Amino acid sequence: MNNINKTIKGVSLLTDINLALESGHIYGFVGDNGSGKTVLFKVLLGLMHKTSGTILVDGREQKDLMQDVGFIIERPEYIPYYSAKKNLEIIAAYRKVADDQRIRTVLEMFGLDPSDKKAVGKYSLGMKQKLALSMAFLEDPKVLILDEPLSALDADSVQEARKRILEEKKRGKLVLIASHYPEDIQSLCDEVYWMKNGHVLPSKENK
Amino acid sequence: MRETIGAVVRKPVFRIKLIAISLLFVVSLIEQVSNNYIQSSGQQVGRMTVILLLMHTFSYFSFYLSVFFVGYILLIPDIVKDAFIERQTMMRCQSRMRAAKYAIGKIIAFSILYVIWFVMLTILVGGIWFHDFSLAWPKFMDIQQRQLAANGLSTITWINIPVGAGKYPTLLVAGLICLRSTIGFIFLGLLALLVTLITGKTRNGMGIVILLAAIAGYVKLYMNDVFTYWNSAHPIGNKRSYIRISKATITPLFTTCLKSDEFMPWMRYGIIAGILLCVITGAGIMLYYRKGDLGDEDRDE
Amino acid sequence: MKKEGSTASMLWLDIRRGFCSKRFWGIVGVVTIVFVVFLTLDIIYPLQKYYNGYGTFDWKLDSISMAPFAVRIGILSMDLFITFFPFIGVIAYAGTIIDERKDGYCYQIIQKRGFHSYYWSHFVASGLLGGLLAVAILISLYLLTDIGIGQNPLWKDAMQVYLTPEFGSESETVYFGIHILTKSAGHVELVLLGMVSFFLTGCLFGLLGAIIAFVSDARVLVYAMPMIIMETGCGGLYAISLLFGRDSVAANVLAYFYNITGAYISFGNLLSRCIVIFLIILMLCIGKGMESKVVRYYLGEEIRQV
Repeated sequence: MNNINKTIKGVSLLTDINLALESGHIYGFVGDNGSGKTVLFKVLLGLMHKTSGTILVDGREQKDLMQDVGFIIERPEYIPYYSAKKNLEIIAAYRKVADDQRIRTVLEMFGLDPSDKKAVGKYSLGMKQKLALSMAFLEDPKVLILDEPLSALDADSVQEARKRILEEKKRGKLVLIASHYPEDIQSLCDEVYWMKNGHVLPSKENK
Repeated sequence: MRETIGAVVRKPVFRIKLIAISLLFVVSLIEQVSNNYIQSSGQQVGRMTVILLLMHTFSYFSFYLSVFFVGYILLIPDIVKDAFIERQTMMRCQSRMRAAKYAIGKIIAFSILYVIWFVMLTILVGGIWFHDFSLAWPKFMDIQQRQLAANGLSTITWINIPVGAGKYPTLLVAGLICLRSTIGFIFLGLLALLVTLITGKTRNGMGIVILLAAIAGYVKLYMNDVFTYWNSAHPIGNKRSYIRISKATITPLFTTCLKSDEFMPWMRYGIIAGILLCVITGAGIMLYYRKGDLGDEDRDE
Repeated sequence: MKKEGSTASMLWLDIRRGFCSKRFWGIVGVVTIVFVVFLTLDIIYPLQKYYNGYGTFDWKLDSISMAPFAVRIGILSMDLFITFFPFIGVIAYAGTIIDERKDGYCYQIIQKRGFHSYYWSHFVASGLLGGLLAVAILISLYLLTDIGIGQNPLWKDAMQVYLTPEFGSESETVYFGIHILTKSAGHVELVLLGMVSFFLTGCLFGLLGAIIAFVSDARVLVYAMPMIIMETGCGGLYAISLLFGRDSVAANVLAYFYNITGAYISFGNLLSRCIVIFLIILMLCIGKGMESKVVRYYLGEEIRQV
């Protein structure tokens, strides 16, 4: 990311963001509410246009939506009157990359039962978060962008989720995690970036 | 696409809305079909058929105002936005243009299904009432067409089919009428999506469709399709001129304006205008998808 | 925590909140603008010295006959107005019920005041505010027609010409609203009856909207349902009379649907007002019966179905 700026109606949401992110690493983004983490993620995904600057992916400028990415942004997305498996089947139908076996695997990976017919709307907040994680991991993407991935999870589930994220790193994926709480991600991240008012403060190496 | 449409159709609120509007449609239709014997000067000159009912229903502006537009406006929140998984769906399209085409395609699919649903209901109610699926023009249509040609607007018509329609096969006429309506609904859906994208609020998308429908209804029902102005050059007793402003409303996209309108020229106008408007709004949507910020939740929903 | 009197005080808070909200006065503003458009197109524009044909035969032919009084009757009798009237009653406050549930704000109130108070204050407030909004719109219409037409100098000019001898002999055969205005007694009484009629009908649809809002998350459905129910009932009447005969019990019961609208013809109709009051009581009873189900829904024991 080179000199990324994002302004909406004169309000600067991101200012001069310069970052180099490598595969096989986990990067943390920490900051208060309104610091610009979600906006940065949306710009990276391509959902928001940057006002200026360039994003290079494998040396090529990204001008459209990011390819091959799994994400959780702002809130878990799901259709409340379908089961967890059905939700993933609908998502998987778009690119037809993940088959039925893969759907079952990712659900079990995060402690959800693939044969459970209960509607997602009846799930607790933690279970919905697990579904969101399953959705992000579903198509084995090269990049994972996770906004508050550990929120609402119980202690065991947090450990399990951390384990999965570390596995992705070992498999050479690029993982970006955002959180309000540095302690949530200090055990995971190779580097932590602190954000405030749309700026990335000088990085503090985590390890 | 099929999965997404299926997900929307399975939404309980979507079904309730569709059932409510279908019920309203059926009771309105029963009022229309209740007298299926056509009389002229006290003589029975024919009976309604199912295909004629179909043509009449989709040419009757009051049906659009009280049922079709209301139903479509109710369904706009479900059609224009993926309420639950919008960002996930968008990212899986892998490019903004493909996401735009997907959104446009969804509206086209829903609009077609919407018209097909009411066509089926009309055929069902008409079939139960008339038991007559004949594709031939009944004799009374000749009488109506001759009276329209001779007397113009003062003619009392039995069914809402314009002059000149009788020259064409019934299936073609019915097909063109349904095609024109479908294109009209596609335009309304695309316009609602465009306004929703620009303003960030689905209610604004609904509002623009309500406004267009209300203007069309007012012009047709209360202004009698014309705007009157003083013309001193005309003789005493007729010192007024008229501008047909209904052509500038959405009425031609769905029906004729006056019963003396010629069928095919008016149909051409409606279909071509509809296609042009769809292309323009579609281009606007593609442009927004290319240039704008996507995936935002409804502001102040 | 003491709960006595809490429902009444909550109700007062809700009414004050709804009455002072941007939504309430925004709707009055929007409807006023719509009335202005009608009046401009139907009266003010034609009145422009009647397109320069002031006092001519053509002018008389088109008979500028809409007195302010007749204009009100005209607008209040329009199908468009009658069809959308239920929407006015619902939009006053029913949407707030959905907003508070979606944002979770309702739980803050429920925790402090109890669900019973919350439910009944919102339910009754929706009805009362629906009625108040309808009355506000009626007052707006009266003021507009009195000021926009009654005080309009062009209108006064037109009346002067219309009452001159060359027009007078034929004006009796031409509909001229001013005669109705002068001949009808009890103009003020009619206005008051109109307010009562509008209040009751607005209240009915407000309560209906609240019932739907308590069990549905779809705002559009809440706003549109009363209108659809009205239209279906009126249309269903014809269908029922065809199927079961005009004198059937079903047809006679459904015939009363026509009487509950906000139409001008209902203003002085005691029977129709009694029917509206009966329906309001029915809505309150339905609300009472639904309370336990709504409690379970709010407390998450039942999945949100719609």
